[in-house]
Amino acid sequence: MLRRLLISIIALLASVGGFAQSRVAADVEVKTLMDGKVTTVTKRVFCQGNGRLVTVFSPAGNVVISNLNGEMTMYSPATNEVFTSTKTDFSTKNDLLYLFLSGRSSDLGLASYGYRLASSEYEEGGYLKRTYKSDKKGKVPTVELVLKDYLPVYVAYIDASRKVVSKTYLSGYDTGAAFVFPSRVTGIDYLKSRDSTVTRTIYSNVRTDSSDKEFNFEIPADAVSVKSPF
Amino acid sequence: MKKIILTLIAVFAISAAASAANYTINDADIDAAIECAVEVSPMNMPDAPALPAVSGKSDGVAVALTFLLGGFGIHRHYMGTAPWMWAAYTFTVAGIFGVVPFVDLIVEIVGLIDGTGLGRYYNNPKFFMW
Repeated sequence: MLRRLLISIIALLASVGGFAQSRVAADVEVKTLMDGKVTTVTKRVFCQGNGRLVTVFSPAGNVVISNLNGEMTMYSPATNEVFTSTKTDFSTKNDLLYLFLSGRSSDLGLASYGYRLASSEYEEGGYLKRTYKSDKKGKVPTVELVLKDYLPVYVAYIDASRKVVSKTYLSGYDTGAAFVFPSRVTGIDYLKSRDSTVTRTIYSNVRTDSSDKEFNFEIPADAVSVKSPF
Repeated sequence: MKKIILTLIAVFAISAAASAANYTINDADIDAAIECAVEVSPMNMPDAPALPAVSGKSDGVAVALTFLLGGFGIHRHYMGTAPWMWAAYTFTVAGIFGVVPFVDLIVEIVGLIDGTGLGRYYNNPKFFMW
């Protein structure tokens, strides 16, 4: 009981930024399974408290730099080419890593997307289920977010006909770590009738005391600027 | 073929087991399903730019945009779609937590590998292009 209470307190503090970190880095592997085929994307991410996110994709080493203002820069070291674009939609404000870094993990950024909390109830097993609604056109109308020990563990998107179109499971929290973050995120979508798609994202080597040079990655001054294809 | 069938069975089992009343998932099942599947790495895809393109657009660029900016639906605009598509992707939390753009990526890669290209996905105004 005491252990559970302590874990809850730690998680709560972490979720509201009590253990706020100024930067966090992680290695990320994303595997997506569909129709018997799986693709793998590996990348390293470097996120700072000011919202600057540097993503380095393996093995080519392509770099994407984005920030809270929606300024996005893509750089290809192979060709030394760069292109930039600015749209508010490129903002890093709802990146999962940034959500946890900024202490906004309790709603996973749903409020900032216009979802409002409609109900909240405790369920067996210590789960707290919060239901969010959106009246805005083009959005999935209902989102169920389930927390355990104040940490998000399950998200479901439910369409107008009450059909679950997507489920996401967040697990592998190390509540003893300086930065409490799910090491494993599994998503299942039911968008197609004949098969579902499973996406497994594994965050490893999550570190807050890192001095990786990528945090301050700058595009080389001699990089050739290319016109954005969009 | 056997691998694909096993994977499909595993995926179906995972989907069936993951009910709304259950807020956890069996990681071992997920790992096993992925282990059974045929690896199709975007890094090992054929020389994409050499493949047929539609309307002067490059399939390779489309895949690259999906890979890098799929969460914002930018690849859809490059391939031709409804003007509101970027908003649909973005407002559904990067295409429903990134699932939609990842499915886009997979079907594009499959299209490149089996030689059919991405032509059927161009100028598609629907949210789900596949």
